[in-house]
Amino acid sequence: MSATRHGNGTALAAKPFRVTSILPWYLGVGAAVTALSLLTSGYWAYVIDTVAIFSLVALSFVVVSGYLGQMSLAQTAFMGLGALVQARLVAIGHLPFLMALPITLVVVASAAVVVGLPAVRLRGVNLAILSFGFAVVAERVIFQKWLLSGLYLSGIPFGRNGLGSAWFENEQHFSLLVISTVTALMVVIRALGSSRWGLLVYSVRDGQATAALSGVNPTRVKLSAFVVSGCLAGIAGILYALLLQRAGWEDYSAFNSITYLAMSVVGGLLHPLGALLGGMMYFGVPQLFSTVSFLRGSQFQVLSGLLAVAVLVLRPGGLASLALGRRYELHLVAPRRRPHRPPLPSPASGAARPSPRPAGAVNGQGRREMDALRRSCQAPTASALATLRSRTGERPVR
Amino acid sequence: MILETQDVSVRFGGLVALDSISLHVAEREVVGLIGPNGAGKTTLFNAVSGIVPVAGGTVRFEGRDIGRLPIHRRARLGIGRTLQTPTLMPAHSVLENLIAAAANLWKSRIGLVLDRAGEIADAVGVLEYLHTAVRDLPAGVLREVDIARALMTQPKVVLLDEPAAGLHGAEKARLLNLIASLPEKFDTAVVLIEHDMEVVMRAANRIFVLDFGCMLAHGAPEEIRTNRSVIEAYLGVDVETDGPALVSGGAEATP
Amino acid sequence: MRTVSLLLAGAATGVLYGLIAVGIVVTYLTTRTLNFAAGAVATLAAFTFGTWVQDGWPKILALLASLVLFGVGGGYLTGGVVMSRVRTASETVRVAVILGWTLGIAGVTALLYNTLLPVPALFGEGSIAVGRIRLTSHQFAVAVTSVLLAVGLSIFLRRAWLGLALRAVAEDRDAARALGLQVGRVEAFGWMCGMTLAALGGILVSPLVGGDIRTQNLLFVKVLAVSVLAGMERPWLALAAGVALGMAEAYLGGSGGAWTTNIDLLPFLLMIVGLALGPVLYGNRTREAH
Repeated sequence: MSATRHGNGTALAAKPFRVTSILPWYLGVGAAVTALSLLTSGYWAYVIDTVAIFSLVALSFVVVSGYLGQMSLAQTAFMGLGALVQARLVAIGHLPFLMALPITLVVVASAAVVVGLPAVRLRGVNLAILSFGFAVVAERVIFQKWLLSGLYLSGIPFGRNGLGSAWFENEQHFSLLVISTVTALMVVIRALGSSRWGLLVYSVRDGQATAALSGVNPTRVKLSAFVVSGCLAGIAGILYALLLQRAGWEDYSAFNSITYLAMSVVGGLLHPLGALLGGMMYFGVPQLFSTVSFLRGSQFQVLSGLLAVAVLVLRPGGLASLALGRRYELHLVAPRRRPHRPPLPSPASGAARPSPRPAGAVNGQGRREMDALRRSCQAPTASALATLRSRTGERPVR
Repeated sequence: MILETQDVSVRFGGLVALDSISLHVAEREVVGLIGPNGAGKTTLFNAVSGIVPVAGGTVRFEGRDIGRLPIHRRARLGIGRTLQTPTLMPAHSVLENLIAAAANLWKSRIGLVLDRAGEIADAVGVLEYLHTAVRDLPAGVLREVDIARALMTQPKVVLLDEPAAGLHGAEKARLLNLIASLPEKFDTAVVLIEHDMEVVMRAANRIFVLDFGCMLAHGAPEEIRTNRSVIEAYLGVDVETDGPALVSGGAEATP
Repeated sequence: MRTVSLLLAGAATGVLYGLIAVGIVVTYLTTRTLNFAAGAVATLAAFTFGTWVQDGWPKILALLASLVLFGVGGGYLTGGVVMSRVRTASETVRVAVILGWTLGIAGVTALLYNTLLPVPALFGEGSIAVGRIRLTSHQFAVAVTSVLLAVGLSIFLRRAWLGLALRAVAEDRDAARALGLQVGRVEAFGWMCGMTLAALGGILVSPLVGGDIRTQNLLFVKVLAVSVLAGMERPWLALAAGVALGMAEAYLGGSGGAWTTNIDLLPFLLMIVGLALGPVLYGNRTREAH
């Protein structure tokens, strides 16, 4: 954006967003992390890699749940698809890594479209159900039965030399690859968030009807966000398989989607920084306590679940909103929707015809009460409200 | 005729919400749409916008049947619309909301979009709020911003749904001026749903009256004002005094 | 005939899906929330019940105690403490809250119990012959209980004042308040009902299915598919849909060929069908988001 003139000549100064303004931050963090991983080795390099990879998973949630506002639990499916398809193509099919990558991404993107298409028509919770169902199907059918059959039931070995050169066999070189990939993707997503595309996504999130009435095609916008999110998860899956040096199905189990969601929520859904904080909190911080087993497993699960609930109730924007301010607060209060009821003819019985509207009733509270009264009288006959009303014959009680 | 509905009917399950409504809007006209709550006015807007399906009849825009087009295509053709409760992006500034609404300028340079946003904001009168977050706006300004949003796609007809609700005095006067200026300044026709008779009578060239999903009457404001059946069904009180507005049929308001 | 036995066995399994689905549907009808936590609560209640029975408690006592603890207590905690705080939030946030809650409950279960804990069958280990197949008395009793529950709840929610009140509050909170209902209390009661059904479902179903998390996930997806097919409307329909799914699975799974290996696709496909046809079959009760 830039300053511009209009009408009567006053300059319209808009706050400029330039990628160059955020690059120093991201590069700085990336460099610091790289230095850290170069100075340590073995175990800690592994930890840093894990943090980076799962920050990428959290980033995929940022796009689909933060920017677009949809609840998709299919991220493990996309991760697994990325990992397994790439592994099959490279380790078994002997395709060069970079040639296989676009094919894998197309597969992942198609899966994202499959999950995203219903998103256009479905309310939030139904999409959560559908995407979870997809994740389970992916785990049990696509991964176990289709992609991992015969010799590879327990996984496809996916050595780092699959990347094309033995250079990556070195722990630290691989770390460099992971960190730079994740950093680059974070910059891209941050830029997208402030781009016109980002504004369209937000507008569909905050008011799909309004966006459509302004000429925005909600289907296209939603699908594009799903595809971006899915590809991020797919890349994370590939990196994870390379980290573990094998691609199996257990690592991409559907229930983990819920854990990753909790991670993203706690970190902050609206900004890549939140993704990083989430990854650090869930995969980095526990490792800082040398008794690793303490915060693993079930205690960790309890903590992470309850933490996510606490964050959503108290500060829905997550940790990132603490750092970045109000702008990145999740929109807690849903716009006040009138329940969709067909307008009914008013009962003829003695209802007083128009009288001057009382001044007080124009304000929000009074209007709400009057609307509620009207709805309780006009509820569709099959509804519980109407049945109750006719049953008790009550006068509306304030 | 820029916009025309021919015998449009809308049904919700077994209920007839609109019964063979025919209305027409000429270019740069201001048309009022009035009637009691539940009469079907917003439903008619929804039918024109494409939000509810039409059970019978046709909706024509510039002579062309748009019944098969999805909401966003109709918007791009040139039908603008505001909602009773504007749902803009609360955490974003007015400017950002306007940019997001310029869907037909998607392929243009950002500078062009900014220019247009600036022009519209200035003409509507919300220029000072351009960088304010929508959730920090006063209620009256929010309505005006919604109108500005609707104007971003350069519509040929704008459907305004109760823009004056809750406004008084100076704010109402500003809105009235804005509505009156829309045809010349923005080259657009206006269809206005309103309960506030003062606004409708002053702004509209013609008025259509709906009641129970049927078209009760239509004509110039003076004709409507003195029309017997309209007075009986809706107006009830002499329109010269302020606000003979009505309460939803069914619930009794305590005076 | 072999097919008949197959279908009967499938129906017996399907009843289990239906029973949990009834809980989901009732919770939805009374709170307008999809109770993702039902599965986790079911497991927790089942393991607690099992532990107490192992400790020597009489089954009835253990059952009642579990239902009170997890049904009433858990329901109040979920509805009154957690969900009430996000009542005005967007749907995405509310779903995220209940998912986080599910995670927490699942974690508590893993923390307290060895997940391979066998859960004793409430109705004993005897067996009854039904047609050509033998069912354990527990299986049989569960089937009977499920039918009674489903039908009873359907009637309760349509006829009884309390049932109507529960649904009214879920349909339109303000309008219900305008009618004079104590919305806060009614809503909390709705959650208690939902969670009690989940706990009961867990105690009844656990002895008959595996205990590991992956089987449970799959089971939950089937339950969700069944709930969706029933349109989240009528408990008896949920039970019927569950039985239908069970029979379809048994029939297709036993037919050999592509369906046998890929049988787990079925619930997902049915889910898509249910979500797509839902608005058509059950009326467009809710317009698309915003």
